[in-house]
Amino acid sequence: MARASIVPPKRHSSVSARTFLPLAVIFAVLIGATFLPPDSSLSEVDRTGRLSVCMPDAYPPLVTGDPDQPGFDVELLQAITDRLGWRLNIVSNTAMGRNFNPRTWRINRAQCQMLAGGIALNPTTKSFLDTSNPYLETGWAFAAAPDITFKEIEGPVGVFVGLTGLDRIALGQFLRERDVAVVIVDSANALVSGLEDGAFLAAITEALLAEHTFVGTGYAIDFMPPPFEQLPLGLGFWKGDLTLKRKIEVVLDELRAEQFIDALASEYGITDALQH
Amino acid sequence: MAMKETTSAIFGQMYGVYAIWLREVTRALRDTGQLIGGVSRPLLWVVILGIGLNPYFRGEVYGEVRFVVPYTYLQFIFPAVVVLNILYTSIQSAVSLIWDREFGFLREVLVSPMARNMVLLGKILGGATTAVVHGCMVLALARFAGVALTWVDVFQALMLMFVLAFGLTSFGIVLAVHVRGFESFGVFSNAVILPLYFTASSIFPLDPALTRAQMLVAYPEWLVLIVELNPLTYAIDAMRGILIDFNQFDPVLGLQVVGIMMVSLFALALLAFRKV
Repeated sequence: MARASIVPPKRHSSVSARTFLPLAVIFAVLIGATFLPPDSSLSEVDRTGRLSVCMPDAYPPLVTGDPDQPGFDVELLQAITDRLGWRLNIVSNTAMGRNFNPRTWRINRAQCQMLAGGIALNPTTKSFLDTSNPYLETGWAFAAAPDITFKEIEGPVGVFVGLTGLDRIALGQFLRERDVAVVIVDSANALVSGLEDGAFLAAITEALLAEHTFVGTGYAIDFMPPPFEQLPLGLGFWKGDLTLKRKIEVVLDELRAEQFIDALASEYGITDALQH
Repeated sequence: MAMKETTSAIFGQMYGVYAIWLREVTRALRDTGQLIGGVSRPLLWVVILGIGLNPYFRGEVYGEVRFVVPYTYLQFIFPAVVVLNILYTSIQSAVSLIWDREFGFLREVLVSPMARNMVLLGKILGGATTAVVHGCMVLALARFAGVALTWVDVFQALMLMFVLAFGLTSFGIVLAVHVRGFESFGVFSNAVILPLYFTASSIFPLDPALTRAQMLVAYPEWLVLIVELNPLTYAIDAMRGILIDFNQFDPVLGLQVVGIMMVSLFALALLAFRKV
């Protein structure tokens, strides 16, 4: 049996605005709830007036130990705490920067509320820390005469591993695969003198240190070619400390807008490593 | 002429689907109890439970950094509460079928020229739309939970929410067809919704960093088995993939399971609705 067709009425009552009023109220309540502080991290720092930050004892140019030029991260954090009316308390940790496995750092919430001084924003770090937006980037870099690319280098290469947490094993494998002779040196300055003496044709070290060391020497600095990647750097927070992280990020954005971070990078000779 | 009649019949059927959809959505918007449930669940689960348990799932435990999965508990539970709100609302929407059957509305609709399957489609689309709105109520708390959403994330989440809500409303219809009174339907809240939710890796993670053998050390085998057999596990996992960029299973698997759920449960609902 054939069904009769449905004839839509010419006029039908529409859903009134009043119908949506409870829904609008509900969304207003929920959006209002998002402004509740989800944790006490910020109020705790406000209460004590002190921000404790765990850092490596030396990781130039981010942390230098020099009172006149204490390091990029130290000065950045000082500017942040000054702006928020807090006192900066630096907690030095020698294991940071020496080992890329954060388990060995033995840092806990009782020691510090934040981590800085070369916190790489990689999946390993992010698995136990929350992080700010990156402001610098690092990685393995090489310095050589301006007209030489890394592929052209056949002679010995000077390497200063230093305190970096970058993957040394990958670097070693990469250089061995290319059958490049390696000269291990014990300081960044030895890289400069080695290049000048002709002891090696290129120097490899961590990018920020390379920029800081080779600034004004006439040598060109570039990141190592693939498979090496550039690692973004930022500030580390304990997971769950959302209120503190949000506050610090607001100040970081202000400092970035005021060109303070650019000026600081220029002061430490690491403008190429800035992340915009 | 025949073409015109066919077009008119299709248009008429579509209008009928629209009318039933509109009735379902309007009814849901005017159902204060359902709206209060929709707002209280995210507030209780995200704001209260999330904050309450957040410190116990942080990346450090009293003096020692522990390697944990890359999210806070608030972030972890957030996508699950989206699914919870959809689950509740979808199944509650199907209660209207009992009302319609008890008070004769369904009989009037079924004797109309509208095809039975189209009646069902209108009801399911209405229930699914309402459930998506309830899912969006949870999304409104994203900032609170520290979940950063892009427009692409929101779009993908809405798509997944709709497909899931369509499947779950179909499931609710299947249940409602077999239930004779409202009192019996209330049992489903405790007998179906909550067991499905709790055994879907919604409130505790199956750590993807662990092998299956390691996981069986952390959890009893029967629990891992139930979690892995529960299709909602994969729906929540897909939602986590979209909202917090974290999957415990193959990301494609979640989408496949939700798609299969939608098709198979709709087919079941079609079969069940013939008995009404």
